[in-house]
Amino acid sequence: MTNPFDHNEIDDVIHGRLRLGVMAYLSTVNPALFGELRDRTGATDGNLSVHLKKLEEAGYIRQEKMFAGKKPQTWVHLTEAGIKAWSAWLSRMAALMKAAE
Amino acid sequence: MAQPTPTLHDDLSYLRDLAEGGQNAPLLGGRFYAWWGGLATLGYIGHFLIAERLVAGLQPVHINWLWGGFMVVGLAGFALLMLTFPKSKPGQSSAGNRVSQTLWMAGGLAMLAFFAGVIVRSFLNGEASVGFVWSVPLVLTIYGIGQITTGHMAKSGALEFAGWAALVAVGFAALFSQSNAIWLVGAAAAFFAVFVPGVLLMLREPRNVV
Repeated sequence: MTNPFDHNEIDDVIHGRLRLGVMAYLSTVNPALFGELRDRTGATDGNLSVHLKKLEEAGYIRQEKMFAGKKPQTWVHLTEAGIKAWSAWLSRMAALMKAAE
Repeated sequence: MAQPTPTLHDDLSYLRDLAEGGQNAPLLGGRFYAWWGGLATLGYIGHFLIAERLVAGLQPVHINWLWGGFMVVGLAGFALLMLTFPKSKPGQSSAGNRVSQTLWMAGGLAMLAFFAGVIVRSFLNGEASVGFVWSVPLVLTIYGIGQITTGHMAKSGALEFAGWAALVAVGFAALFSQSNAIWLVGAAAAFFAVFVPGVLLMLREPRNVV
């Protein structure tokens, strides 16, 4: 039987405040611009880049570099794997809270 | 002083704010609504004035030129708006904006195809085609479905209300289909259901680009 309090069941890649914020925003605005994510989460460029890299390595997001005129743009896409991971994390949290009640 | 560690409740509130921020992102199509709504209002008023022979020197045959000009000016302005539309507005990939973009592209294409056919028919006949009368309930139906759907997706009660009003106006268009009052119904619906919501959306649009 699954232990609802088992911390190994929680996806560490997602379970960081900023990465959670990125996943939450991308779950409703997909794709989003890098600057949009930075402004929404209140992160710095450097910090956001580091966390996006972690999510990208896990296959949860995909970054696409483009140009709008002469201005470089980075679009961040939530992948199918990311959608599944986000859904699983939400289910995990719901189960944890239910067990704790 | 050390920052207090966020509680689980704080984390969940933060996530909810972010997710809802995306879900309720403002619609970015205001300038397109205002352009086409404003132009259609003028087009229908012009049609009424010509049909009622209230403009000296213009006969009903000139209605073809009015709508031919509408198409040329409308598409030129639309192309200009597309070219100058900022590519970095926050929220442009929200569900509301994606639905709005797809729905109005399809609806716009239906109206474009219809008007193109009616205008060509009118020039071939040498007089305004009866298709102009059908255009009013057709465009009002597209306005209504478009505004109700995008308003629902973007949680905009004002837009939904404008859509329902446009659908009610379809009945008035049918009621006045045998009089020139139908053009005033079209003008009023285009103004209140498309132009005014467009201006309101533009006012609510985020100023910043990212």
